[in-house]
Amino acid sequence: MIITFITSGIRTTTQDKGRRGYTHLGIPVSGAIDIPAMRYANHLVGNAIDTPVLEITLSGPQLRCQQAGLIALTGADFGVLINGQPKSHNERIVVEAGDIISLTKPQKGCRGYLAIEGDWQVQRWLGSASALRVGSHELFPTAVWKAGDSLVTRQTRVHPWPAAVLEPNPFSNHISAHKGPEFHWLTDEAKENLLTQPITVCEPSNRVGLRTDTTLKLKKKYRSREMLSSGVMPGTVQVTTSGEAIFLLADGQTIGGYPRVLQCSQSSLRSLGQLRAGDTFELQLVKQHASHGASISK
Amino acid sequence: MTEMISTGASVDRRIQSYGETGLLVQFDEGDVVSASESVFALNQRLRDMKLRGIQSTTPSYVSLLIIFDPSVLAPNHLASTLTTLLECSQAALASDTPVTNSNAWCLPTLFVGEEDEDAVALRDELGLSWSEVVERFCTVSYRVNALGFLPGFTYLGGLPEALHCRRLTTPRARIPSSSVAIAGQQAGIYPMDSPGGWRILGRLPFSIFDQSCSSPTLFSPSDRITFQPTSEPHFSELARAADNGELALDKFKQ
Repeated sequence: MIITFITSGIRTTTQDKGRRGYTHLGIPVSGAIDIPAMRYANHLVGNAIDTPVLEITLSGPQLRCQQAGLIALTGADFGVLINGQPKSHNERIVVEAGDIISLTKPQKGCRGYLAIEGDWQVQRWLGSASALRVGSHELFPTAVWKAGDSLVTRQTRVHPWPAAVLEPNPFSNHISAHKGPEFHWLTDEAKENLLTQPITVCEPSNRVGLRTDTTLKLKKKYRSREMLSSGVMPGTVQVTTSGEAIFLLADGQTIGGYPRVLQCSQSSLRSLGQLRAGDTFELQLVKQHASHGASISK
Repeated sequence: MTEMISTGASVDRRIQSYGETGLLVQFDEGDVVSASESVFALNQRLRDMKLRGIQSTTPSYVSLLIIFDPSVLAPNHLASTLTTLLECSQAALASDTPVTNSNAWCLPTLFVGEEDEDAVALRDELGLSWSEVVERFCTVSYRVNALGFLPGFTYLGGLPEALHCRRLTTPRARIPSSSVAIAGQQAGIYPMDSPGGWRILGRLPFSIFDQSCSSPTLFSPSDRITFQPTSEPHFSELARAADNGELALDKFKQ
């Protein structure tokens, strides 16, 4: 298929499962924030599940199909209109040459995933087609779509065996997390607050991480302690000097110097990444298995 | 490394779980230099093993984060492998086996003039003349302790104590790429323009991060770096060659 961008939306990027294996160089994993939604979209159009998709943020692009084919939209519940006619989210959609695809704003969540049938003719960097923005630097600019751009996918004769990919569960405002390496740095009151009080997402939140309205206190002996930077990953919850809990996402840095109080569970990462400024959520601690949670000391 | 032999004891360390997909090995912070040697030795051995299921490792000053796929590699198995490797790397360190795959660099650096804002501030804070600051900075060899904060940002350990300094209270909006800077007990090199609160000593004539390249960072963790002052004409000549893609950076390897 060939799809042309009439408008780009707020931020529409190519994303896949990301570039793993480069954290020792300080390069974030990147990749789709909501991987299950990305995989389900690809499944619906018959693509291999880790084929790139368009990640659409808050407001959708308007697209013109130059050829017929299959598309599917998953993730945040953007409404899909083909030539103005509403189509279903989470379903395969047949488009014809000349069709105009437009999206209405989502009620819940902030990132939608548009799969397009075929083999994506896009560049890769370090094994991934995913856009990555760090500060003001666009590290893989060809993965950021602008008005006038055309996306080309090539028809493949070979289709993968349809994997049993299930429709992802709706997002949840209950985020589960494990204790992080510096959880014990928090005062008892801060632990209690973090795990019982609703938390509100604040601006500026983006693919690097979520800012929140929390004010958590560290125990006295840790307050003035300068931590040597150490590894962090998507889902790590760090507490800044001012007591704010920051939740890292896919484009987050790879090492950090703030105490890591929690690590969000893998199954919660997608819900976390679908929260937008103003949304509230609650945290709950995962019960640790004796075999896994044990810390081995010498 | 001779100190390691004399102590004869193994460095204290802990292996902790970090979510479902991470294990964190933390060494005792008391001696950052030997902890950092242990981090690199462990990282190298783990890489050499090519253990299935490890997705990446993130070495830093006194810790190594291992990110893995628990459906391929059981956390308990990884933890016991790490324990075994730690015993081995301790033995290797004591026998003075060098960490493989690390480069030594000598980098031409244009230092700022003595009237520069940071030069004046450092002179006042450290009680050294600017030429003494530059001289002391250039006499030692630094270890790349970690890359991070920004892709390719190079954290260097080994800054002489006489140069330990406060960071700016208000960070600058833009520090140019390839700036060589110091703060606290660290030195660092900026891979791209960025806000920052470190004191700028000088600049390299070439880029240390190339996003169009399959190996985008010039340095790797555990590399060694020394800085050599260069004149403005020589700096400009090198910078021009680098811009035209005619500068082979390998020639700064020792």
